[in-house]
Amino acid sequence: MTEKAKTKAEKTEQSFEEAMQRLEEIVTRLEGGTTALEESLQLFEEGAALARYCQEKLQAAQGRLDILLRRDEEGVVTEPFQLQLEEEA
Amino acid sequence: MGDTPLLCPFLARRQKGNQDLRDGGTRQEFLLWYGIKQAWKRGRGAAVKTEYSVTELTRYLASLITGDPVLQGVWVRGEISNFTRHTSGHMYFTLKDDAARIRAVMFRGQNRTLRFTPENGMLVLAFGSVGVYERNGDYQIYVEMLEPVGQGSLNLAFEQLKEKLGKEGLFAPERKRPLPRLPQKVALITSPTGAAVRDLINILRRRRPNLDILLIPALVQGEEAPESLVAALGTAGQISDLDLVIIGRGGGSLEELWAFNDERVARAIAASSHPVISAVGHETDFTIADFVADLRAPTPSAAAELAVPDQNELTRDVLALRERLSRAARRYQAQKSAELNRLANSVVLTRPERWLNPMRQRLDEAEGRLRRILPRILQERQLVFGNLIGKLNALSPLATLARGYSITRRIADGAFVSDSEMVEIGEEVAVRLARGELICRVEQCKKEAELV
Repeated sequence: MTEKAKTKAEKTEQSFEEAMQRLEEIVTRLEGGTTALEESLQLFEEGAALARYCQEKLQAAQGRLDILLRRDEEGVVTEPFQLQLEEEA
Repeated sequence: MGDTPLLCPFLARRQKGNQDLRDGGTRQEFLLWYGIKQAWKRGRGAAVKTEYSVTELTRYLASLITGDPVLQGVWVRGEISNFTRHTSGHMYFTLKDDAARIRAVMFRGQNRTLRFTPENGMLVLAFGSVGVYERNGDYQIYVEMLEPVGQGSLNLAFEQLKEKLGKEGLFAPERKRPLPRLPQKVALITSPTGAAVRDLINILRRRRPNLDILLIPALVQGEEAPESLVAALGTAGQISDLDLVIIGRGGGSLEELWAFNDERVARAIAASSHPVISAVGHETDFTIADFVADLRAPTPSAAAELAVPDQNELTRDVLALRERLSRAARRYQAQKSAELNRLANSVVLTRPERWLNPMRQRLDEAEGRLRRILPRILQERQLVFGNLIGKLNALSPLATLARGYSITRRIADGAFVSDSEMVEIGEEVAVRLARGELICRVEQCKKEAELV
């Protein structure tokens, strides 16, 4: 069921923003303690999946720094970019 | 004319310091003299020609004007009226003041570099050369440069484009797209060597180490900058996994920032498929790009701050939420367990006799009452039954038989014999008695009438 909640989050292309909002909402509801047991279990599982999803999103990109060389029929051609200091330029 | 100074009455009088010099008439005089001299030269001393064709005269006048150094490079101040822009791209208008007017034309080759759009009523300073349009016999000024009077042409152009695009709704708040809270890939459209790119990259990196950055180099000032910026925006549009585009440059003069006030650049930003942050110059610099962009950043550094959140801060937020989630779940479990315990330990479950005993007592009581009431019910039923039996006996033929009556039936078909004529002599009949039956043979048949 945890897997299901996760794939659901991925399938809907949920934005980071939405995921954070939903997580916040779930935590607040669970803290209220008024939900039925079955619903609480579902909420907890969804919340755990969302927290993992958010962490993954934060770590998702690779921190690349590229410069575009040209653009042709193939698409765009890039290479890693070394930041030059202005004084050197 | 330097070779014949003494022949020129104009110069002769000028040497005398004559005050007529500034008089318009004197200038006319000069032109007349000059024309005569030219004609005399052409005629090699022959008499001045006495008759000209219109074309000759016009050409002659044109040659006078085009030969004049003052008229070939003159600044003139006036108000624009009758402005039209021909489909060919040439501009035709009149320059006027309170007392005079002159026709003006600015060809496409010259007006292409105009930053503002001339309008009727606009006070301008025009530079150009005066010439003759022979076909109409008009003299006119061929304008090469045009400057608005009162404000710079750049300021005017800015205001005009701002108004135009504003009217089209390109700055409307509802056109602004929300920026992604956590971009994974950002494109920077700027010069790869400026201070801006360094600030952008450094701050983006510091805030979000995982961010993928693609630098799309572009010219950010000069004649070719607008096209370069437009091309870079087009390239960004082709890269589908971009979350955001930052377009900008560091501070500079109004001229240096001018590409960001170009209509083509503004329209390319408006048409961008990705959200765009503009980051041009300093806080006080406002460009058309800023108005069209989804978000204006006061500086490139500020753009980097606005573009991505602090990754560490967000990670802390997520972990905090996760902790709260676990705590809430634990507390929920504890709370439910406590509830369960309370129920399990309740008197109802632990000492059932408390609520069973009264029930048992009620059961006993009910049973006693039942026992007492049952014989009476049976007695009543028996009485009813006896009555019914009596009634049944009264109706039964058996009772009649008991009094000595009998029932006779034919053996052959079992029919009840109620008439002596129903049987033949010698026929056997069955006679049912109250107890038992007789099989009898008929000896004699007496009719009813034969009986006494």
